[in-house]
Amino acid sequence: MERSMNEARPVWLLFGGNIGPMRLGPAQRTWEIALRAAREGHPVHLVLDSWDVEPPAGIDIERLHSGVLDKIRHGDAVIVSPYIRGRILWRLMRRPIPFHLDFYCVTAAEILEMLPDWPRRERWIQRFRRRVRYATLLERAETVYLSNAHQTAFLGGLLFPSPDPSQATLAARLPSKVQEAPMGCREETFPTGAENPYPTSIHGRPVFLWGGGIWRWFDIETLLQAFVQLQAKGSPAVLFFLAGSNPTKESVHDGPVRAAIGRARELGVLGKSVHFNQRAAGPSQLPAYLEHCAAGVMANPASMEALCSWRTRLLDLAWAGRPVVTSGYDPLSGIFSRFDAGILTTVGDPGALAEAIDGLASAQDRRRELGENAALLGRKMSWSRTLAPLVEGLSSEGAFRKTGAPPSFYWLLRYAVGR
Amino acid sequence: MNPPTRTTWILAPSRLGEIALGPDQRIVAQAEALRTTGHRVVLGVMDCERKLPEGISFLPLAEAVEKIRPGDPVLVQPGLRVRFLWKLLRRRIPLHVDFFNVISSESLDNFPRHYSPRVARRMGRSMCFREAVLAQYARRIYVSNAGQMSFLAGLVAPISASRASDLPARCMEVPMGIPNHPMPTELDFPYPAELEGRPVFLWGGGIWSWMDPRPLLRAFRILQDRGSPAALFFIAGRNHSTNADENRPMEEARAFADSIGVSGRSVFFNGRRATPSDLPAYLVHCRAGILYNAPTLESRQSWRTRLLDLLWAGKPALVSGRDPLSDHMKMAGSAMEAGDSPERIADSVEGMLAGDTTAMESNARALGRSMTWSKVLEPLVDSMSEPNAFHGLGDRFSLSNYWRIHLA
Repeated sequence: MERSMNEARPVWLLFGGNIGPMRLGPAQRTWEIALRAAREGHPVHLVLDSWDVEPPAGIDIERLHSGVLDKIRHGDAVIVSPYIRGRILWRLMRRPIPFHLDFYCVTAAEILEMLPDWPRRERWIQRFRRRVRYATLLERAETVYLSNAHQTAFLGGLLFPSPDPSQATLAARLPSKVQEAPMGCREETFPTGAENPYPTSIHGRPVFLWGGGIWRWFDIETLLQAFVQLQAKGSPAVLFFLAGSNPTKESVHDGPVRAAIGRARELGVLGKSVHFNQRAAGPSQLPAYLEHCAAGVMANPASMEALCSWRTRLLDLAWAGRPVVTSGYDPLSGIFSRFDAGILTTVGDPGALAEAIDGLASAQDRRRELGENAALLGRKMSWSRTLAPLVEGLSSEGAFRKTGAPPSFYWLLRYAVGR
Repeated sequence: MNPPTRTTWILAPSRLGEIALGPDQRIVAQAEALRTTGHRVVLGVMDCERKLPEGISFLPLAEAVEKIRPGDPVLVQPGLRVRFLWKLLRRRIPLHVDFFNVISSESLDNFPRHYSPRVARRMGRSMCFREAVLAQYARRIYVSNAGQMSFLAGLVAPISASRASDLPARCMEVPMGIPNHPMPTELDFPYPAELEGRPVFLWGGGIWSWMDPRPLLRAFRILQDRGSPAALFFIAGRNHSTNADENRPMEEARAFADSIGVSGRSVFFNGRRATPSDLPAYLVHCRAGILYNAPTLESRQSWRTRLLDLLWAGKPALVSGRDPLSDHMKMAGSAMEAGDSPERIADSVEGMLAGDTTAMESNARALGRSMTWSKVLEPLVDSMSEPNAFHGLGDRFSLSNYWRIHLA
C-alpha cells in the first residue's frame, strides 16, 4: 500500500541492541536519530532487541523480529544497522524494500587487530562472512552513512577482489552513494558542580583521563612509557583509566586491561602516576570525571583501525570543553589538532607525548584556551550537524526508491558455510 | 643521512625516452634525487634512449633483476611483470614499492565495461592480487595520498590481517611533483586562431573513463547561449594509447559536444597532437585549468598531474573537487569549486572571468614551489638512505601466491 503525498513518511530504524536510560556510543546514536526524525514530524518505529526506557511522543519501540518487515510500506524510510542479526538482514534484503545503511563504524578494521588470536577456521569465517555481508548490504542500500573517507576507501578495497565483477563496479562507484554522518557531540549543556570522583590520593593533581575502554588496538605501551618519564621528572600529571576493568560482557576484551595493569605495575607507575578506576563508572558518572580532569589522552598505533576510527571519547571531551593529547593519528584527533583543541604527537614517541602532557599540566591558561576551542568544536560537531545528511534524507522526495538486486540463495549458502 | 655504498636499484616496466611523462618522469626524478644525495643508481627498465648523467646507469630489466643482491636498496613499481617480481620475492630481497598510483582503483569500473565477465574477473583478480601481495610484502610503500593506503588495506585484508593493519606504519606519502625549474613564459600562442583573445579554460590531459566532462560541456552550452567568450579546450583531441578502447571516452565527449552544438564554438578539441614540450605554451596562454571528476573511488585516490601542471604555470583551476589534489588546492586558495550542476559551473566560469584571479595565481605559484620534485621526494630519499631500510631478508613469499597472481 502506497502512502499518500501529504502523509509524513514513517521512519523505521532497524538497529537491534539495547537502549536504556543511560546511553553511550551506538545506543546514543540510535536514540539521537529517533529523536531527530520524530522532531521532523515522522512517525518513528525504533526496532530494538531490548529496551528499558519510556519513548517520548512520536516514537514507538518494537522488538526486532522478521514480522516487523511486514509492517513496512513502500516508500517508508528505513534505516538499517549492518550489524543486526543475519537472519533479519537476509529477509530484509530478499524483499523489495529500499533502505539506507547506517554504517558509521566499519568493524572490519577493528577485527583486523583481533584476527591473529583466533583459530584459523574462525578467522577465515569471520573475514569471509564480513565481506559477504558488507558487499551485499552495500549493493542493496540506496545510501550509506559512514564516519570518514578512509572507511569508504577501505570498503572499496575489500570489495574489489570479489569474484563477482559487478562488485568491482560497486566499489568504483561507492563514493556516489556514501554520505558522511559521523557520531556527534551532545547538545545539552554540560552539567557542572559534581563532586570530584577521582581517588582522594590524586585530588589536586592534573588528571589526564583515558575516558573509555582499553581495547587491543590502542598503543598503551607508549602512553605508560610517557608517564614513566613524567614520573621520573617529578611531574604532577596523573593518568586515570576510567574503565579499570573490561566494561563489556565479552571476555575477549579482558586481556588488554589485564596487560595494561600488569605493565603499569612492572614499570613502577601503578598507583603513583597511573591509576585504574576501581569502580564501574556508568554513563551517568561520566560528566563528573570529565569535569574534574585536566585533559583527555589517547594513544593510537599507526594502524588501519586508527585511520578508520571516530573516537567518541573525544566527543565527550569536547562536550565538557576539555582538550585532548593524542599520540598517533586518528581522524578526530586530527580535527582537534587543526582546531587548536588538542595536541597531536608522533606515533610511538613517549618522549613527545610526555612533553605535550607536561606542557599542559603546568600551563593552566593554555589548557583553558584549548578547552574553549574544544567546546566550540563540540558545538560545530553537534548531533544536529553530524546527522543532518541522514535526517534530510528521511524527507527527501526521491529517497527510498531504489533497491538493488536481492541476494540469491547461493549467497545464503556461502554465508552459512563461510566460503 | 649517509647514502648507502651499495647500488640503488629502481625497477620499472618503462621505456625511457628523452621526454618523460607521468610515471617515467617520476622514475627519472627519483633517480636524480637519489643521485644528488650520493646514491649510485641503476635504472632497471625495459629500454632507455635517454642520456643519463654520471651516477645513473641503465640496465635492461631482466638483467637488473638478476644482479640485485640482498641488502641493495630496491625501489619497485608495481606494474612489473610477475616473473620479475617472483625473482625478487623468492630470493627474499627486501624492497620498497612505489605505489604512487593504485592502478586497480582506475580499473575497477573499466574491466566489467570493456571485457567479457570472464576476462574482467581474471584481469581484476590478477591485478588486485598482485597489488595486495606487493603491499603485503613491501617494507615501505610510497603512496600519493592517504586514501590509496586505505584502499590497499582493503585489498590486503583478505590475505593478511596483520599486514593490512600495519599498513599505515609502512606507508609514506610521496606524491607526484612538478619540475624544479621555472616554466618558460615567452611562448607563442598555440591555440587555434579563432581562440585568439578569448579566455581559454584548459582541460590539460586525456579524457579517461573515470572522468565526467558532460556537465562541463553542458555548462559551456549555457555560457554560449549567454554570449560568454569563454572557451573550453581539450588539449588531447584523442587519447593516444595503444589500447583503442581508451579513446572511447574522448569519442563520446566529441559526439556529445556535437550533439549539443558546442563543438567549434565554445568547445574545442585539439586538432594536433600536443607533446610534453608543447604543454607550457598551452598553459601560459590559458585563463585557467578545468577538471571535472565523477564521484568514484578512483577520483578519491587520484593525484591529478594536470593540476600540478597548473601549479607549475601559476594558473588557477576550476574543479569539481572529489580528488585530493584539488581539495588541497582549494584550501591553498589556488582552485575554485565549480559546482555540481551545469548552471552552477557556468556561473563559476563567469565569476572567474569577472573577478580578479591574481591572488589565486600567486597562491598557485606558492603551492607549486612547495611541491617541486626535489621537495616531494625528500621523504623517499631519506627512507631509501636509512641504514637498516634493506637489512636482512624480506618476508617469505609462497609459490602459491605466485600462481595465484599468474593464474588469477
